[in-house]
Amino acid sequence: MVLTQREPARLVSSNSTDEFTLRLLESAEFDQPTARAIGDAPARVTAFVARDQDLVVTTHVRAVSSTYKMRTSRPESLRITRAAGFGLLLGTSLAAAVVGVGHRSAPVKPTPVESVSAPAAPSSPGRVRPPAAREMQVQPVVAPSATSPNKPREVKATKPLSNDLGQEVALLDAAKAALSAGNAAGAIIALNDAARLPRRVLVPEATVLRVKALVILNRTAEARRLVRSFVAQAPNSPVNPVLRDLVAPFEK
Amino acid sequence: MLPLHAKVALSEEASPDAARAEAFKRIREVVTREYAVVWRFLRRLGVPPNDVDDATQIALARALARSEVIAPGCERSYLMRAAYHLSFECRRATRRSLERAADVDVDQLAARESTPDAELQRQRDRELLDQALDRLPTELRAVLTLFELEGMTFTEIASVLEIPRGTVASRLRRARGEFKRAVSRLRKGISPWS
Repeated sequence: MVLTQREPARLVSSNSTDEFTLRLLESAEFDQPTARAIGDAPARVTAFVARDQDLVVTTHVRAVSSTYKMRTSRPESLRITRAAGFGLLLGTSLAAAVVGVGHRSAPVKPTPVESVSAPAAPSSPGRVRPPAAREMQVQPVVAPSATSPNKPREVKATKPLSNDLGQEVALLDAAKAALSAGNAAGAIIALNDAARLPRRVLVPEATVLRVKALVILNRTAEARRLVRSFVAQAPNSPVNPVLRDLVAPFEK
Repeated sequence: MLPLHAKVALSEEASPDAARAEAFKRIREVVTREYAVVWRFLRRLGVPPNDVDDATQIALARALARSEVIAPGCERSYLMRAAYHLSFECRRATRRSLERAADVDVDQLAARESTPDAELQRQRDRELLDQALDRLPTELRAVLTLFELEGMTFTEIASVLEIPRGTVASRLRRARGEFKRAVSRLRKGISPWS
């Protein structure tokens, strides 16, 4: 049996409310924004929304260049330690990529995010080893902004990156660093760069990072779509539970 | 006939620009319709008069940034929820600025000088109302404001604050008790004029 609680009468319409309290409550009714504020609001709010949607573009250069600066200024020993740590993740990811590819039977319908750009299995997945220092010594993709900070658009003109695992690792590392620094928009920039790589093996990791960034940016609808399409294509990926947990609070 | 958000989703596939234009059109309509309600809610939650327009715009923008997931007709609870969360940030900022300096709002004083008696009385009453509401924690203040001043139902308030309906009822009971005590204190303070 469901008991529905009856709502009490409002104080303004209750006979037991004294005149002084009534006066105070009624005074709120006459509190209004100015007509000018109401008139200006639609354009201003739309501008706010548009600006937030363009945030990724506008923060692109600063975020990525500062991330790369951080990386190059880091002591070598720390870089190697981080590389080894990421190597563990990489090992998992390669396995995940293989699993993902193995389970894909139907032709893949293209979608704009990394979950669907076909993750190319490495030529010899059985001999995968942590990328340690060799890959990490590959110079990260030089963001044009690092040399010309006043020309943010040039970053978008970055040439297609060569098929180098080190570059993919570097970009994902950059995305991780941006996320840890609270710069979700910057993380998406780095992930977009990674998505332009012709052959990729770290698609599951990139997807997790992108979903995190989208959730932080409150773009939960996109995050949910991304998770759905990734899970549909790689139903046995080890990152699927993580992805589902990330968007679970926003599922209807 | 498809609901608006479904139409937006469909048209997004066809043309992103058209979808964007449609979404922005809807945002403008919702803002015009709901601005005053959100503005009043933020004022009663303690956002200072000088900040309330900015705060209202930010709350609306935050809520409507994902307007495609908001079903038509349900906008208000999203907007009020964004306003509620924003009010915590505004109150923190206000506390800090009050600690720094006690500013005198010259414009407001000048406006008061030229206001007719009835409006002057209402302004005084509103100040007292806000003083009484200031005594309540924000959680209780929000329930009292939404129920008593905005006329929302328990179900609507539960949706805005993301709490069970029963919690709305218990918070309202506590809010009324505290509000009455606060008003009673105020009345004693201003008894020579009332």
